[in-house]
Amino acid sequence: MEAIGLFHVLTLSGILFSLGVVGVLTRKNILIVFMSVELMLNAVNLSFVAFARETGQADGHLFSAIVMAVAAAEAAVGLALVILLYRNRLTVHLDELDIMKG
Amino acid sequence: MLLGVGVVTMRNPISSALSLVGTFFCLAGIYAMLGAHFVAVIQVLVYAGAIMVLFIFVIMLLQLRDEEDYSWSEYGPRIIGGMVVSILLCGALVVALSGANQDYGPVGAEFGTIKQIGYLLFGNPESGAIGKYLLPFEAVSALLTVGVVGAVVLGKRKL
Amino acid sequence: MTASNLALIPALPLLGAVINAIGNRRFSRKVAGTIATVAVGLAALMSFATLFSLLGHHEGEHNEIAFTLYTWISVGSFSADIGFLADPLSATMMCVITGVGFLIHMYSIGYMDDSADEQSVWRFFAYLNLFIFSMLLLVMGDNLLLMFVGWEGVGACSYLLIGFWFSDTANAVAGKKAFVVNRVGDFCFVLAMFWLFWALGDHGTLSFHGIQEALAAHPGLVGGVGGFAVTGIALLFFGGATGKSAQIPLYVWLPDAMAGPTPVSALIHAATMVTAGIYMICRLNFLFVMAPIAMGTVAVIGALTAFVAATIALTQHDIKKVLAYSTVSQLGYMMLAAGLGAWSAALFHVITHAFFKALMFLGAGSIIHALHHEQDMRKMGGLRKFMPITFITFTAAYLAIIGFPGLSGFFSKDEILWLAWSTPPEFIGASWPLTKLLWGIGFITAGLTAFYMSRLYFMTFFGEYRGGHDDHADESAHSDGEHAHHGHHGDPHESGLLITIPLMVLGVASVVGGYLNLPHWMGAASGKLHHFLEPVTGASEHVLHDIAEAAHLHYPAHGGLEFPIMGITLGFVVVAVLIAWRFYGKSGGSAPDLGKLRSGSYNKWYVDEFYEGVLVKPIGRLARCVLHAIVDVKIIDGIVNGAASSARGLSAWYSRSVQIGQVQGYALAIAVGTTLLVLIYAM
Repeated sequence: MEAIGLFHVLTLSGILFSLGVVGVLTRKNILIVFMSVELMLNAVNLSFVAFARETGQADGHLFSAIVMAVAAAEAAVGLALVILLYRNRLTVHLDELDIMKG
Repeated sequence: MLLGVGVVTMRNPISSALSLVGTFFCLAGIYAMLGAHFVAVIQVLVYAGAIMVLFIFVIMLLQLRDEEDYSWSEYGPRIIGGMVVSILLCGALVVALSGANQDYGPVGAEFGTIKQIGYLLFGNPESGAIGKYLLPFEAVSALLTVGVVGAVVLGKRKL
Repeated sequence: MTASNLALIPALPLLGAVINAIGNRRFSRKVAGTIATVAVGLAALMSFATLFSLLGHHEGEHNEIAFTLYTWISVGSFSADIGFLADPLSATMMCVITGVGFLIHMYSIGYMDDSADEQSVWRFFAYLNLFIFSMLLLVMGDNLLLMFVGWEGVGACSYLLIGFWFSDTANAVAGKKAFVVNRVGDFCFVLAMFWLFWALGDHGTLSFHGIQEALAAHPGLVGGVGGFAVTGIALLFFGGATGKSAQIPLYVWLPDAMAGPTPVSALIHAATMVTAGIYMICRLNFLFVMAPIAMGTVAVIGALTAFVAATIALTQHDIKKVLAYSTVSQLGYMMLAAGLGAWSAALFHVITHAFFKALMFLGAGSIIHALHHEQDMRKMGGLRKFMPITFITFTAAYLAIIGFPGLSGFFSKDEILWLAWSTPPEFIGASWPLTKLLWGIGFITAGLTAFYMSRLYFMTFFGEYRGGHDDHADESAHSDGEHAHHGHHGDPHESGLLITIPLMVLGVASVVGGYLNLPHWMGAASGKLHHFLEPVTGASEHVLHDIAEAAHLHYPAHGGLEFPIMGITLGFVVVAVLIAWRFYGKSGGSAPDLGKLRSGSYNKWYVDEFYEGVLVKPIGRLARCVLHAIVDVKIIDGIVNGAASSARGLSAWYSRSVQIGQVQGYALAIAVGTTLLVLIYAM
C-alpha cells in the first residue's frame, strides 16, 4: 500500500471542508446547515491531528480536543436558538427567515 | 468521504444526521491510524455520543419532515454557485498544500497518549516544564459552563 | 536703538489693537483711547530714537539698522523674510507716521464723544492701531512682499475706518469704493512684482537691497536703461501708486472717503496712507531711474492731477471735500517731484504736507465737532470769535499751504516748482522742454490752491456766523437758570484740550518744519533732509547727474531764474488771496457764476458718472448674468448636487440588491472571499 503522507490527509481534510461549504450554502433546512458546519469543524480537526503527527508534538491533539469542546458548546447554544426560532416563526427554512433585509 | 457527501445531500434530516455520525466514526478511525489515540476516543465520546444525540433530539422535537423538492429553477444557481466555490476552494487548498510531505516518518511510542496530553496541560515534573495549555483549558471549561447556562435560559418557555 | 528693538515698533500698535479687541465693549472711550494712544506714543518714542541713532552716524555709504525677525517663505532659491529695515528714508517715514499718529490718537479721544458711538468706540481705536501697524510694516519692510502686506493692510484698515459708521449705508458704500479702487492699483503692484522677479531670473529676489544690487550688476536683465521690461515694471508700480496715492485715474475714492470720522481723514487720507505711493517710488528710485519714460509719466500725471483736483476744489461746499481735493492736488505735487528724480523734495513735501494737512483736517474736525456735525461752509462764518485756538492753528496751516514765506509749505512747494523748471527734460525721456510745461501747470495750480484755500479760510472764520443755533436757546419752557445756561449753547464754542493740544503741536510743526530742508541759498543749514537721504538716493542721483552732463546741462541748477520764479509765484498767490477776499471776505459773498464751468467743477467733472457707466455697470451685468447664472448656479451647483444625489442612488441600490437578509447569501460572500484569499496565497 502506498504510504500515507501529510499530503493525503490534508487533501481529505480539504475535501471534507469543501463539502461542508456546499452544505452551508445550499441547504434550506437550518439543522442540516448546522450539521454541515460540524462537518467543517471536523475537517479542521483532522488537519490539526495530521500536522501534530508531522511535527511529532502533541499540541495539535490538545488543540483538537479544545475545538471539540467549543463545538459542543456552540452546538448546544445554537440548537437552543433554533428551538426558539421555531417557536416564534414556526419554520426552519432559511429562505423565510429574512427579516434582516435591507 | 462518501459519508460526508451523504451529509450534505440527503433529504431526510435524520438521514443526514446519521451520515454525519458515520463520518465521525470514520474520522475516529483515521485519528487512531495517525497515532492520536486520545483524540480518537474523545471524538467518539463527545461528537458522536453527545453532539449528535443533541441533533437527533432537536430533529425529533421539531418533527421535521423531508425537505420538499428542490426545484432546479429556484435553486439551480445557488447549487451551482456553491459547488463552484467549494471546488475552487478545495483546489486552491490542494495546490497550496502540495508541498507537504508524501511520507510520514516514525514517531515515538508515547506520542498521542493521555500521558502526553496531561504533560501538556499540567506540566512535566520530571523535566520541569510547565503546562502550556492550562489557561486555555480553564477558559474552555468556563465556556462550557456559559454554554450550558445559555442553552437552558434560551430554551425556557417562561423566564 | 538696537536692531532687535526694531521689531517692537510695529508690534506695539498691534498689541494695542489686540488689547482693545479683547476688551471690546467693556472699554470706555477714554480707556480704549488711552491704550491706543499709549501704544502709538511708545512706538513714536522708539521711532525717534531710531532716527537719532541714524543721525549720529558718520557720513558713509550705508546708514541703516536692519533686523530680520524670521524667514517667512523659503522655496527653492527664493526666500522672503519678515525683516525690518530702518534707513534714512524709512526712519523719516516712521517718525512722521507715529508722531502724527500719536497726536491724532489723542485728538480722537476727545473727538469721538458722541453717545451713539459708545458701544463701538473700542473698534475705532483698535482699527486705528491696526492701521498704524500696517503702515509701519509698509515702510519698515525690507522686501517688496512685506511691503505689500502692509500695503494691503492699510487698504483694509482704510475700508474699515471709512465705513465705521456703517449703519448709514452711504458710509459703507464709500468704504467699499475705496477698497475696490485700491484693489485695481494693488493688482498693478502685484503684476509689477511678478514681472520684476521673473525678469531677474537667477538673481531673483524681492528684497530692496537685493534688487538694487542685481539691477546694478545686470541691467540687461530688464532691458537696460529705457528698456521695455524696466519701463513696464516701473509703470505698473506707478499704477499701484495711483491707487494708493489718489492720482489720475484712481483718485475717485478719496473724496468719498470723507464719509469716515475726521480723525480718520486726517491720519489716513492726509498724512500717511496716501503717502505710501510716494514712499514706494522713493524706495524704488533705482528702478525708476532706469526708465525715463516711466518717470515722465509719473511727473505728467502728478502735475495733471494737481491741476484737476484744484479746479474741483474751487466750488465745493463741504469743508472736508475741499480738503480732500486739496490733498489729491498736493499729492500730485509730490508725484511731480518724484517723477523728476527729486526724491528728497518729494519726501520733504510729504512731511510738511503731513503737518499742515493733518492740522487742517483736525481743525475742520474741531469745527465740525463744535457745530454738531455741520460740514457745509455756507453755514459757517465768523468762527474766529468763537474758536480762537482752532483759528490760530488753522491760520498757520493755511499760510503754510499757500506758500507764505518762511513757513514749511513755502520751502517744500517752492523747491518742487524750482526743480520742475530747472530739471533737464532728458530725465523724463523728453527732448522738448516738457519740464517747463510741468512747471507752468504747477504754477497755475499754486494760484488755484491759494484761491480755494483762501475761500475756505474766509468763509469759515470771517464774516458773520451763518449757522443755525441750538434749539435749546429758543425754548421758553425752561426756568430762568436753565435758560441762561442753554443760551450759551446757541453759539459754537472752542473744543477741549484733547482736541486743541494736537492742533497746537501741529501748528508749531507747520511753521518750523521748513527747517528740515532749507534751500541751498540759505547756506550751511540747507538741505538737511537731502543729505540725510543720500545713502538711499545717492546712486540714482549720480545717474541723473551723468545724464545732465551728457546733455551739457547743470544739475542741480543754481542761481539763474530761481529768485524771479519764487517772486512771481509769491505774487500770483497774493493776487489770488486778494481776489478770494473780495468774493468771500464779507459774509455771504460768492463768486460770479461761470455757468457750465462752475457746475462741471462742482460735479467733479462727471468722472464718477463716467466710471459708473463705462466700467461698473457692464461688469456688474457680466457678473450677474454670466458668472452667477451660468457658472455658479448651473455648473458648480450642478456638480455638487449631482455628487450628492448619485451617492444616494448608489447606497439605495446597494441596500436593495445586496443586503437581502438571507443568511446563506452572506455565507456565500464569506466563502467567496476566503476562496479568493487562498487562491492568492496559492499562487
